Amino acid sequence: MKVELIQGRERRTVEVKESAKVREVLKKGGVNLETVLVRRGREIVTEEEEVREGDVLELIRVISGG
Amino acid sequence: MRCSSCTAKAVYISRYSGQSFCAVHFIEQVEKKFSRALKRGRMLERGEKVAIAISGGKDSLTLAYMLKKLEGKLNLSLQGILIDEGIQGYRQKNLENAREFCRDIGLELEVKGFKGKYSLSLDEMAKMGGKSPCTYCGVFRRELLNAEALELNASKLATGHNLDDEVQAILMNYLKGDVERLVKMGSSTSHKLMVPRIKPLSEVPEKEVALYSLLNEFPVSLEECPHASSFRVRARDIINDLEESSPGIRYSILRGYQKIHPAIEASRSRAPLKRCRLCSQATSQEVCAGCRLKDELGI
Repeated sequence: MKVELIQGRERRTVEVKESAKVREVLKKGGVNLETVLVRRGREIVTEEEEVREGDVLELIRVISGG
Repeated sequence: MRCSSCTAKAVYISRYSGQSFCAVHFIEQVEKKFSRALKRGRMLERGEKVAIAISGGKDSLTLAYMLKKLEGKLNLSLQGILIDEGIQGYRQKNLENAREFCRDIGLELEVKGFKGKYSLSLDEMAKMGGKSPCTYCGVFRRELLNAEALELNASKLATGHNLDDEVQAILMNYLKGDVERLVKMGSSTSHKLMVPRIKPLSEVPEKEVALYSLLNEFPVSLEECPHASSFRVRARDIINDLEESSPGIRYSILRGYQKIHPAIEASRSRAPLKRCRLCSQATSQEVCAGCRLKDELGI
């Protein structure tokens, strides 16, 4: 199934197996768990949350400053 | 997934402790880490005047918010200081956020700029000078923050360094073999011209500070400084990779450093602080780092 990742202006689609978890989507998308918070709609979700077909996950980068 | 302490939905999993937290319990655990660091480091006493270094980013706003919550209990007197280095397209947004936030929480904010003090912005220094922008920024920010804190008669200068910042600095100094800095970063400075610095967020991972600021709806922009040093970025990536595969490694690095610090400190003799021959600020050398950089930049 397909899940969309949005980070800033960048959008990409990741393909994962049914009932995959957020952490598997991140891994597939090459995103380190430690570097982002994940929002689905208005809700913050943990890496253990299951994703559904067509989900759009917003990645909020936690690294800021210099 | 549910919170380990109640039935509410979890918003965060602490991979190093195995616990999950709903928003309410997450906020509570971050505040506990802050209070524990304050107590463990004996950072504050009742009635102190604390200058808070504000950048407008998530760390400094979180720090200001938490200190503000303690203000009445510890009878503290708080004052924010923001240094505008002059970084095009980055600092302005953070400055606006900081002003709005400080107004909302009732914290007085003093703004000082590189341009006003040194007649050059950081962007201009980076173009003119031969050193990394982080060198100018680090030295001049420290100098200005200390000067402002002294002027305010503050007994402490609080900065928003988080656990990741601390661990990156430890690793960078190890990798460079910079034992002097390794000693210095863990030591308290005692000199009438230096306001002692405290880092109450130094035991809170960056991701937790970011979530705390998001859940509390602080007006922060999670942007990276365009001058961020490539060496720090590499150290950060190494640590994040290690943390992802071995949760808790950041705390191990910090605790390991804290254990060896007394030994390396005892093995080095630190030059006593004196006044800089040119500007009278505290320094361990004849001429302070700020004056050496000013000389290089011709200012």
